[in-house]
Amino acid sequence: MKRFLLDRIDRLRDHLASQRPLFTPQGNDGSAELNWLPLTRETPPTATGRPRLPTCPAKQFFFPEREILFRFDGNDFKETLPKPTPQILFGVRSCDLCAIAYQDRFFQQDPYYQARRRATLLVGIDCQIPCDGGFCPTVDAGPFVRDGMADLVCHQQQDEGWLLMAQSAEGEALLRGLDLKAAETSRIDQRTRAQQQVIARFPPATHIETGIQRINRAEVPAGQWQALGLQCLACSGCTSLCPTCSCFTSYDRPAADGFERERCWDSCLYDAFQREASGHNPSATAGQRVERFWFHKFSDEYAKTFGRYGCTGCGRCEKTCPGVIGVHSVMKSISAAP
Amino acid sequence: MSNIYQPDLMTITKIIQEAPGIKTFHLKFQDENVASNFSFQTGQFGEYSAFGAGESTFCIASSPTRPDHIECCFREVGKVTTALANLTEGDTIGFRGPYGNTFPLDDWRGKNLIFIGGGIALPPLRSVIWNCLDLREQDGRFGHISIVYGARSVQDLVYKREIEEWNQMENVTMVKTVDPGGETDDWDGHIGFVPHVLENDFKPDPENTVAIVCGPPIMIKFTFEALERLGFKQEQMVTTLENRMKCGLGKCGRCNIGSTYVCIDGPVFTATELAALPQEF
Repeated sequence: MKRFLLDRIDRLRDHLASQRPLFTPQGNDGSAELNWLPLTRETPPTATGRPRLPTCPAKQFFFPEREILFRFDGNDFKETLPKPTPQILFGVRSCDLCAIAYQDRFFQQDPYYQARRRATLLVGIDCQIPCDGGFCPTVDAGPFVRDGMADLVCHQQQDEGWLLMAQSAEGEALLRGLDLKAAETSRIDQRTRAQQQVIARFPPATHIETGIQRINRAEVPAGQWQALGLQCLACSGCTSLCPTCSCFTSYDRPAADGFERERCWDSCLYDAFQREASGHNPSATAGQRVERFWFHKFSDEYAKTFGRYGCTGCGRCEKTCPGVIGVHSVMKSISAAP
Repeated sequence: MSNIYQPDLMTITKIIQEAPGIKTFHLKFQDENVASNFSFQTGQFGEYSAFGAGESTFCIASSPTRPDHIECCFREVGKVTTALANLTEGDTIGFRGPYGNTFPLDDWRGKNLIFIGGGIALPPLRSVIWNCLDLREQDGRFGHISIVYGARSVQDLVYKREIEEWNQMENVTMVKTVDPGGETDDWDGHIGFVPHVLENDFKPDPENTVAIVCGPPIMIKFTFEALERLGFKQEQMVTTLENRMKCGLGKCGRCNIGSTYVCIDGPVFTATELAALPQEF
């Protein structure tokens, strides 16, 4: 890993954008929400200060909401594997980078995911201030970018300028021509200390810790899940915005010369998600489905299989849930139970 | 990287109407390379495409000891199975697989085997029944083989010809039953639900015996309870589950019970393994 000193982060952004299409979170037509959009001359400078997450995580770049898995004309298959042009995602936060690493592992054998993922270079930014509703330190997902999770990492230093860390050969190669000075080793220690200071600024998350324990000890009574289930509108907001959620369904539909098989995002909060042809449904009630969702996010058994919890502490589910059963509400409820 | 979602093409070489709404397909791969590289073990399943309608999950109902073709057996229930049922001999379907784990035949050496199935759950058992019968014929590696099978009514029994074949075989005990009211005038089998007939009429000895159960969730639950009352221990009870799936690869996210994926960790489970999972039955 090579380390450099960088005066202005947007000098890096412009330099990278001159080499490949670059996407970065920004408002769209005056909207207060941030979305992943291509860099243009109107794109504002990269914001510093309290970080704001884009409404959607970066998962749709690799695992789009809909995609064609193949076409078939009755005799032959037509490959529909994407051939993406190399691109850069600039300004990905640690929570979302941990989720990308999680999905990289989950979709290791998926040619569609991997084709897009391999064409994408990730530039991470350390979060220097807790974001609103985020609790990444509690689930080991931030606030600073973890080693190996981005090709380039930007860290705003307390004195001045930025520490730029190249974590892949490809990332380092793109820095050519920037004329950067190597950073001293002491900068790394300063960064480590800075992270401790940022972590200390996060509000207490004992409800999350206690909730995780209760889920893993199966201490949450079924009645409480049923009560939380009453608040679930089965809108799929949580699963759509969750950076690690990846359940999908697939179906065939007619196309020119035959048909195509498409997959699209599905949601375990839908009542027909697990329903079988016989009518038997292992998760027939909203309460069972809500329980199943949170078990998937916080179970130690899943963590063993996938290397970490399925929650990276971004807090998007809390912001989007119209029934007020996002992560904070649910964990407060189950941690307060007798 | 190969496209894990793209099926191989198979030709339907024969269709058998097993019961009202239930059909067996005999299937052969169209590509000779695919055919010669294909192998499976009993207990595994596939994703079958009715092109234009979608994919459905069924076990491979034939035995790997009879590799000329593979068979599946399905009930016409939803969109995909209806589209499959409308196909005729010579038509093409798609197949992905084999997926999942297998029945632990090596653990069963020297043991008596009881296969217990209900309704449309005989096809997964039929694969392993023929597999065990053929292996026993070769080298006598299993003891006595019993089959307890029931359906709602006489006409709903699948593999009727094979039930009679098993009935005629020495060293095979065939116990057939239909639910009360489902019998005909000339019915020569039992009348009663499978777990009841198993416990009160057949009464198998648990000594050195493995029970392999397949059926709807409620039948598995009551059959396990009956077996336990007969003295069977959990490790002597095996089942195969068929939760709803889309991919068969552990990716679509819907077949898991707790953190256990039926498609990759199963579909074959011992009762001991099932007891450790969240209780969904």
